[in-house]
Amino acid sequence: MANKTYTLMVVSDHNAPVKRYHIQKSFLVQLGVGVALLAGLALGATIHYFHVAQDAAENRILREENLTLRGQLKSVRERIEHIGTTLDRVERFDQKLRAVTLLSDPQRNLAMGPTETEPGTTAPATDTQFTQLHASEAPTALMGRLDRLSAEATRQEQSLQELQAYFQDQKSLLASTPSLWPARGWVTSDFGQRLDPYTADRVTHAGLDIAAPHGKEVYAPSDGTVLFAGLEGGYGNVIVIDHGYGIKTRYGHLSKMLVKAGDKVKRGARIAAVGNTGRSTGPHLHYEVRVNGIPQNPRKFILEE
Amino acid sequence: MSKTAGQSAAPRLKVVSAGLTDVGRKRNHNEDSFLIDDELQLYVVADGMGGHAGGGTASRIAVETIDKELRRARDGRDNPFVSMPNLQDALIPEALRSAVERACMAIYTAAQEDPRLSGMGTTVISLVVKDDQAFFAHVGDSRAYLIRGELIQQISEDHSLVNEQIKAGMITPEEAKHSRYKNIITRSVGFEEEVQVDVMGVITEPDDIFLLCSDGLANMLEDREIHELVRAAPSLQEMPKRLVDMANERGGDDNITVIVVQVQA
Repeated sequence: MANKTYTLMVVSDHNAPVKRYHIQKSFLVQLGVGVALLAGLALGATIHYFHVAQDAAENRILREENLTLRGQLKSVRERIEHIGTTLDRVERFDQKLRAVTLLSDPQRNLAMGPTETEPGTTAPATDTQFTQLHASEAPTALMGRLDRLSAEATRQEQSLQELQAYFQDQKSLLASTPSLWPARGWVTSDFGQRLDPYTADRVTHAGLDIAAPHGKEVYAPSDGTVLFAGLEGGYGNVIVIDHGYGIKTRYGHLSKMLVKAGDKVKRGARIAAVGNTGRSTGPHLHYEVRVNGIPQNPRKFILEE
Repeated sequence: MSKTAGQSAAPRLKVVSAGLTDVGRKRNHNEDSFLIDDELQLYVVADGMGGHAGGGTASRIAVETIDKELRRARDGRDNPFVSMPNLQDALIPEALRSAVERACMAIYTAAQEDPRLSGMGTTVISLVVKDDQAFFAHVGDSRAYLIRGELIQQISEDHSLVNEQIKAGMITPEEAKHSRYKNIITRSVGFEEEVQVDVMGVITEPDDIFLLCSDGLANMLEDREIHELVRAAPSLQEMPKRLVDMANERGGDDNITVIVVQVQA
């Protein structure tokens, strides 16, 4: 049985001899197995092909989806950035209000700075959809940032509530605070150390110099009583206003004075005109804020942008 | 605006004044001097210091020199006593400044010539009223106040150690009142050859009162109390006496000198 042999005869119609092929059974079996294997392979390949084709179609959809998500992520990031800057602004305003109240809170000094890098420095998303997210901008990092923002917002809220309570008691203090720019112009010399424009000595500049055209309006930055309106040595025509709470403001080099000692002024009232009187190198307003006699940086009190 | 020739730009305002000096209760001689020159409408208080005879000599030389210099300026070619519509154009501040500088030189020279007077010096607070303008020249801690209705305002800024300390934020105004360095001044006329003089000017209102005084008054009374006494006085002539009496009542620690000047419409 082992070596059964089959004979395949090829008989021609014509006179050609009959050809005989002896085929062993085992060979036939091998052949059959081979064919079956090939058929299986072909089937597998076909199935695989259909799978791949399906994946490809799915991939297209995923890419589109990915693109949409990426866009959404970007806008979320932008919004977070926006919230961050808004909070920074609130923080600055809060600090100014605190300066105004002269409230000192050492804890506030621990306040964190900007919650993220400047908007310009973040890597701009490229157009290709395969660009990897910048490591620091990974969604997990965004979560961290969101947590920080939310903590910051909570802190701001507490701080502002505290201030609100304070101001409810101290409405008149707020009215006394020199919170407006007394004149519109360029600040050409800030508060603090500077070189004297005449002698080039290093001296402390007790106020702000605001350069503005001759005759430009000077406004009272808050309610008060005029203590002095007259000539005062190197400052030329000078007005001094007492706002109460130990706060006094001084305006130097005026060309014209519209108020006199004893007058009550309201915030925003026109009190004088910018000039060049006294020891001055050009038309400008010298503006000083003194608290209990000590010159302070006027910018600390100005709430306007 | 009237263009009538010869018409004065500002109305002639009447200026009345009264002054008094007192040795106080603690000192045995008076080193303050004062000057009332109604013709020039010039008023000066000087508080001398240094040596046995020095203080009184320095303050006397100061008031005499300032008067003499301003009279000479008025009679000279460039008379500073001309009407100027704007404060900043007036010539009187510079005339006052140079008169005080001359006084400084005169005191310094006198001290150099006489060893007994060595180191003397004086404060100066001076006032010139011209039309509706009032000008001040000032060195040291004697003061000028403007009293206008409800307001009393010190016009001069003290050249004193405590005032410098206040401005530097080292002490509060309240602490300054009790400071042992209260009497130390940072500038004086005649102690050195030259002195830096502060000048001020204001536009007067009818019934304004200017009060010049030495620290013998200012250290004994609060600004508010000075204001109350001035307002309560029946006449201008009464004011200096009432103020001096009150300063003495409080102890009279130093010589007390007061001049009041009222501008009447």
